[in-house]
Amino acid sequence: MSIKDDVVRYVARLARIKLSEKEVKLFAQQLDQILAYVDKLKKLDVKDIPPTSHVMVLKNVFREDQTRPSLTKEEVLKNAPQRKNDFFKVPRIIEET
Amino acid sequence: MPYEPVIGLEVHVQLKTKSKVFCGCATEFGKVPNTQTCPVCLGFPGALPVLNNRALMSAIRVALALNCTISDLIKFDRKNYFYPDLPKNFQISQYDRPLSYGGRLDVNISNPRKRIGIRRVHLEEDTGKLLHEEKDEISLIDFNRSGIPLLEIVSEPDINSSEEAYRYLTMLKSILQYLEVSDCDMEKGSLRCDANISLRKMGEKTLGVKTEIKNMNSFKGVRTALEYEFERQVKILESGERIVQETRLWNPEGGVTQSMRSKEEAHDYRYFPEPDLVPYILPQELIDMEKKALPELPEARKARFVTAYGLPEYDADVLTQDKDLADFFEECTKYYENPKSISNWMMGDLLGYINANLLKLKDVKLSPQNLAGLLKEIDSGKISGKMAKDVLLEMFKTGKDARNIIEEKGLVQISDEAQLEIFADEAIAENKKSVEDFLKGKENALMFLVGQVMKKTKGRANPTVINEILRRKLSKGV
Amino acid sequence: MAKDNLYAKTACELLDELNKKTIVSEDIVESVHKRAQDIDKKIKAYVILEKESAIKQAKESTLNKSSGKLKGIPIAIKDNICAKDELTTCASKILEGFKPPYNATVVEKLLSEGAVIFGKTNMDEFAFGSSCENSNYFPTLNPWDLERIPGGSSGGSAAAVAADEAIMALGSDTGGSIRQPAALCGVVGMKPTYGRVSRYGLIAFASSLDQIGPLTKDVHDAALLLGVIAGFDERDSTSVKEDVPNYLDFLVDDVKGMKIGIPKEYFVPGMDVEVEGAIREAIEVFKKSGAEIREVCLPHTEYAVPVYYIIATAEASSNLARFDGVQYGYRCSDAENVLDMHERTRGEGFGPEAKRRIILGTYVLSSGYYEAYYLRAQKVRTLIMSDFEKVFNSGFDCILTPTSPTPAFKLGERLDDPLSMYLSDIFTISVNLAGVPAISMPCGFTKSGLPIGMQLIGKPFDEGMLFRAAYTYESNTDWHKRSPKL
Repeated sequence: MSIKDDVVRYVARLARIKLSEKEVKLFAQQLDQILAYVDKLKKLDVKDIPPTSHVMVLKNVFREDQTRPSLTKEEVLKNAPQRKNDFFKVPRIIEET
Repeated sequence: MPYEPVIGLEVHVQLKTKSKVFCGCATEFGKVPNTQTCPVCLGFPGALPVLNNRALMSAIRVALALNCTISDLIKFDRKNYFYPDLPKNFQISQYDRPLSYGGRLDVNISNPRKRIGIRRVHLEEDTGKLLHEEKDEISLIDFNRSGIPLLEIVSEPDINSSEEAYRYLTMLKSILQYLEVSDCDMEKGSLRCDANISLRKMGEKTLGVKTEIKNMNSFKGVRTALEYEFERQVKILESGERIVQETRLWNPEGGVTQSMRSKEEAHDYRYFPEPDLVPYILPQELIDMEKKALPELPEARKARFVTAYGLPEYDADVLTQDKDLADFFEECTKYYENPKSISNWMMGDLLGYINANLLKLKDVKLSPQNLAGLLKEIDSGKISGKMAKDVLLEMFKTGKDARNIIEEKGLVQISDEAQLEIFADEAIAENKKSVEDFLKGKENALMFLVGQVMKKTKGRANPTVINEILRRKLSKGV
Repeated sequence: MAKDNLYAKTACELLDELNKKTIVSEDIVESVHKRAQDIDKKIKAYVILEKESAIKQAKESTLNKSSGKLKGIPIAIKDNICAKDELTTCASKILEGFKPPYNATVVEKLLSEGAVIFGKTNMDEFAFGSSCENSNYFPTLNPWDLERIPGGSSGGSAAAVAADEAIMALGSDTGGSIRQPAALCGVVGMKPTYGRVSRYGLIAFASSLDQIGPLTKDVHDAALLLGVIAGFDERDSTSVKEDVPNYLDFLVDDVKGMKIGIPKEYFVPGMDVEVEGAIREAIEVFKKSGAEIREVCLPHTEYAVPVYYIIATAEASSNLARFDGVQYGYRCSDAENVLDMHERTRGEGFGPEAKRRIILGTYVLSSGYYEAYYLRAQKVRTLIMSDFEKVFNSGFDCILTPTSPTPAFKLGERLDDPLSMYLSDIFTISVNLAGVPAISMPCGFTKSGLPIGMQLIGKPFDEGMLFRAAYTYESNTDWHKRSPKL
């Protein structure tokens, strides 16, 4: 199967990465190669095999409902590229899907 | 109307835990922005989530109260999408193995009650809060809310009217309140509701194209918005057009729903299992124990009020909708023997006061013992029922008991006949015309004279006694 | 004791001297720092090297009366591990200027044992790479041949230890990122069992695969460092409540009766002849020491790289979504709206390999492809895990393989062919997929003087066995005593 440029553009939008046309074409080609390689997984019969999400057989890890000290406002905001008073500031949001 | 609405409701409820669902930050409302946050709920690089035990157990209790089945394996998934109030640009939620599924909620709208299916109840984390500043074309973000545990309760599309939707919501809120898991305050955002509505011809089984309605800020708002949307869709269908599948925002001022930019495709959330959280398997004994430990829920309490206190169903319904109200009622019955009387005063004056002043029961300073005390004063004839209303109002505000207020204000009812005779004589002497009118047959004239005596006694005359005295005197022609 | 060549010692040797009070911590820091000043302009292992901070910590350590397992020892930290109020950038432009307001758990543990945080080392951006060429800063060079790469993604840490610019270092390993550079630089590197070391504060690449581990000059130091950073952490839900043994107890020169498996799938045609030769000789060393060597099968080995590149990129695409210019790091200029800000920040802030992996990862999770790729890869992962389980369950104590199919390749050699770059990880990747521990150590040199590494793979939480085998090998060889000519 081959990855078309359109697919790369669609995925780049999902991932919120702006790609140049050159990048789109390069990635389409490289992704094609990589996906062709990973296609070898299709050779295996995995119908009855359970998927592994976690390698260690851990379950039921909790914490108690107790408060812990939060960061100070300054610690939180000190890395902010833009801020206004106590808030992080971002440009307007156009309702987009 | 040949069409019926098919409605599904999606309710998000903030759970009232001390700390957030995946970290130890506090969950208090209204704090200075970005002061209840930490690397975890801010989504700082390197931070990892750890599940709050109490959030999980509260969620289980809600699921059990809604008769859901608890999943034998509970897991969390990442819901991936970009939005500035979502710090990691994914939300830890649940996808294919939610906490619970397959429950029901019976709504009081018909007899027998209407059963609304609950498709699922699952746990997830809340997002931060955005403030939009139109003039500067910027948005501001406060992450205090990010990470607060959220329960998502999704109904089956079994609701067929806006009124059913309203009752579903009030019933759900009632249950959540009884479980003490949430404040359920739509104004503070601890309870939010979105609706899906489609239309179909009566009697059909297939579903029509649905629209999603958001931004409804009260239960009444939900009802009104659904009514509007139903009409809007009817008009479209009747004109031969098609419904566009879209999300619409309810505009309460304008009384209309408005289209957001229409979604051509559904979001691709790319769900996959959350690798930073392990699965949860709750032993059946634990689930059974939780089920047994559920408090008496509204329906059960209502039924008990009918049988134990002999209350009519209507009264029981009103009193049990709110847990605090029901608790108040039951406490009061310990001090006063006539439950119906308590009920009348609570449903009438107490609820009237609360609703008119947009208060909650806990804001009113009346105690159950004091209400009982007031009712006893009425029974003993010390004050009239009408007087009692004023006394009660004073009790709401001051928290004092009835006896104190009556004495302070000198409101003791005058029932002594000798005293009242003097007032009666005065009223008769001063209002000759009324006397003539009464003798001519106008009953109203007697009421006028009673009123005059009430004025003189500042309302303290025992109405029954003065009524009798006046009638006797007038009939004798004195 | 001569203080100017302290930089060339191991941590254990230095702890001994510190104990005897022949030196103080500042002496070590001065020595290592001078060494770094002399040679790091050639190697470029460090991205942050602040002498004042290290000296200050060293002085405090000397004054502090409390004892600590690493008291006074300077340690270099890979730049994807959070150090409070220090620049932590994952060698990426998108995190430029980021100073986390908290320490990673491993850093807290190091500090509580008296260690001195010496500097931050270079890496492939977000750990995406096997050569350290994907750094936003500069490539790090292999101390054994400055025209070659040191391996990746913990290339900076490995090169620094190899060049004696660091006494010990921490790296992270998702598909071989500690072990492969360790092999290419001739040092010891270990990836612990998944869940052995806390990931809290490690900037995530692939959450179900990442682990932090030691890079050191010898096995003794690796055992010492692992003993400090290992252990349950309540802030990491995937951290395991398994007791941490005293790994130093396992440092015995004795493998009599140890059953070592040699997987036939790891000796492939076209493999570098010198690498194969070195491994075969290493096997002989173990045989002579009394170990039982037998061939084993790990039949799903050929599927490891494809499985990894689906699972790891999928998880990475989600983990890296948070880098969007909102709260920290780089933000593009003059964004018109949030969508524009997100897209251009990420388009400008990420390097090409990061973008490639995020695109691939997003693709394999997207609607319509989830079953065909991600779900399928997770199932094959189960098969790979069970390959290891079967071998261990049949009585083997560890498995011996080459770490890397080739010695260090030249700078730029594989940059244009991502797939060939991915295949450098072919021997290390299965280990992360299975979650088992593995250690790489030097086992020879090519004729041209490039290090060759051997990998020992163990059972979950059986790092002790690996240390025993590695220590025995090291005691009977002296590859680890060689140093690059700088």
